[in-house]
Amino acid sequence: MKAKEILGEDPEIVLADKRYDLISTILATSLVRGAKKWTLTDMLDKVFIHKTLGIPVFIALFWAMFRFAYDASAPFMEIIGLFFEKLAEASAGIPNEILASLIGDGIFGGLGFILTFIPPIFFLFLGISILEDSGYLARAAFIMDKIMFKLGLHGRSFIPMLLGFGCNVPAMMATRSIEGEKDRLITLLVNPFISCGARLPVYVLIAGAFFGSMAPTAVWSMYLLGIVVAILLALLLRKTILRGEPAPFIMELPLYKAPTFHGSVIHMWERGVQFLKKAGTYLLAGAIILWFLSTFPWGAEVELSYTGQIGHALAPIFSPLGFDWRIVASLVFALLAKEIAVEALGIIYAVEGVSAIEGALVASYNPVIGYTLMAFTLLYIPCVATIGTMKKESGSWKWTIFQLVLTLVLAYVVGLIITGIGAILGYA
Amino acid sequence: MGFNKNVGKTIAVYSFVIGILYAIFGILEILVGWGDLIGTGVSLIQPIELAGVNVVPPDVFGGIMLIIIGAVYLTGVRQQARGKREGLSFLLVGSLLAAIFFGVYVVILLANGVGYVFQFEDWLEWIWLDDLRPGIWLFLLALPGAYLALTKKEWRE
Repeated sequence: MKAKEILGEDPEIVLADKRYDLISTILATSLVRGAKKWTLTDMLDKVFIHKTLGIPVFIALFWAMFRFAYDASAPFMEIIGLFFEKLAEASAGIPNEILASLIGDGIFGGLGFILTFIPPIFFLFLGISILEDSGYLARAAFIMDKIMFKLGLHGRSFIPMLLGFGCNVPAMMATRSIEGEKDRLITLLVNPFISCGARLPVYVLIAGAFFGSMAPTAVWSMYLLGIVVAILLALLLRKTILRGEPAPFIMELPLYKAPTFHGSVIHMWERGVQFLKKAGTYLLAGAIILWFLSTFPWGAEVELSYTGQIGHALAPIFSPLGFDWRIVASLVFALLAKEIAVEALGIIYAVEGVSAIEGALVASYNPVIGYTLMAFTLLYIPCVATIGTMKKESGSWKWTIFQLVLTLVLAYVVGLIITGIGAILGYA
Repeated sequence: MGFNKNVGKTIAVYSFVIGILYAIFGILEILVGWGDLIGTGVSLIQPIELAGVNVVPPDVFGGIMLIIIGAVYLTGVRQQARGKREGLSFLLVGSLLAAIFFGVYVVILLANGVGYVFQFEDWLEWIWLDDLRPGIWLFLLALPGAYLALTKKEWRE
């Protein structure tokens, strides 16, 4: 702190400036310049970090990645779905009615349904790994830094934001590399708006139900919406409660290299295995709790079960968004982990397979409600693990509660905007 | 620094043609798909068919991506015509993007083939020719450019 006061700016920046000054002085007297060799990295950077083309190319690459993750995974989802459907059918033969329901509807219907989303999650992580291993993601941070700095966000914030595409928990831990309390706090507050892998099953299910061939684009738009909301919110925070100038961002860009199949698959696995671990713990527990709350009092319709009662109690608050008790109940349970929203819809609708649930959703809601639900899932209160990380990393309950309220209010407002636009387009 | 101006002009013409083709097919995909995007289902132009097969899929965002690829090619044309080595960057990255989209569309085609082989409900009426989109066959035209940009190391000096 003292060094910063004496120097007038971040000591690391001053040291870096002095270091480069010294290097320049030595080189000026000792180096005879020849013709500079133009490497492949120079060639690629000419376009990838081009002032006009850089961002469109970034958008195109991300769109291709989502197209790949969504469309190429569809038949493999079908295969896994079919497998769990058969298991659920087989469990109907269990003599004990309650046990048969737990295994068939709770575990195979709920947990099994969420596991059908393994292919798009792994395919998305493969895409991210390829971009990362090639050296492109560092360029993405570089081109975004220019915009982010103008908007008041620290350039280094983009790295935790990129990590957030996998999971927000390690992404928030990665903010430790950001100097400056305000810069770090802003990054922590906006990080949950970056779509983690857990939200992907919700997007894939809803987009598949309502948007047909436009589904990959609808999913991609959620990722863009998350980035836009995060950046705008950072700007708002910087202009209001967390005033100040962001510190300059110095980053060495790695050389480009062709990603290897082996390396990319390993990185995909490292990210994807988190989902599998979650499936064996949180999601399994969630499925059992959900099954219990949706099945009891025993013999009652789902609407009259405990889940139905929770959904009905909160539904009036969300009715302006077009959400009924089913959606509200699924969103409540998704606080444990976002994927549970999908698990909950599987259990509440009590139909097997992605196509059947998509059909049930289309019969109950319109595309605007579907899109609102996607946006709400993206923006509202993050999962319990993320909330815990926010408390730990910020060291403050005040900021943690602020984040909870902020995300909920923002999700509601964005939901109302989408609903309003939908009404203008003629969707009641 | 760069390459012979005559060579540059040839490369510039090549990039211009490829860039324009990507842009044209991008615009066509947008025009055909516009109705799907706004929910009317009515295209701004008639679907373009060749022997009963849709040559241009209705895909607004896919069209935008083709335009971006076209824009990368076209941005480099002037520098290529002047024989500047920097122009090669646009040819290389345009070809790289074209290759990525080619790869993605081919993988999707193969995945749809898996769905068809297993006779899943959504793939019962699938025809492989419908997945043969401009992003696939335009890349075949872009291949020579990619080859030259990568192999002619003397052009980079």
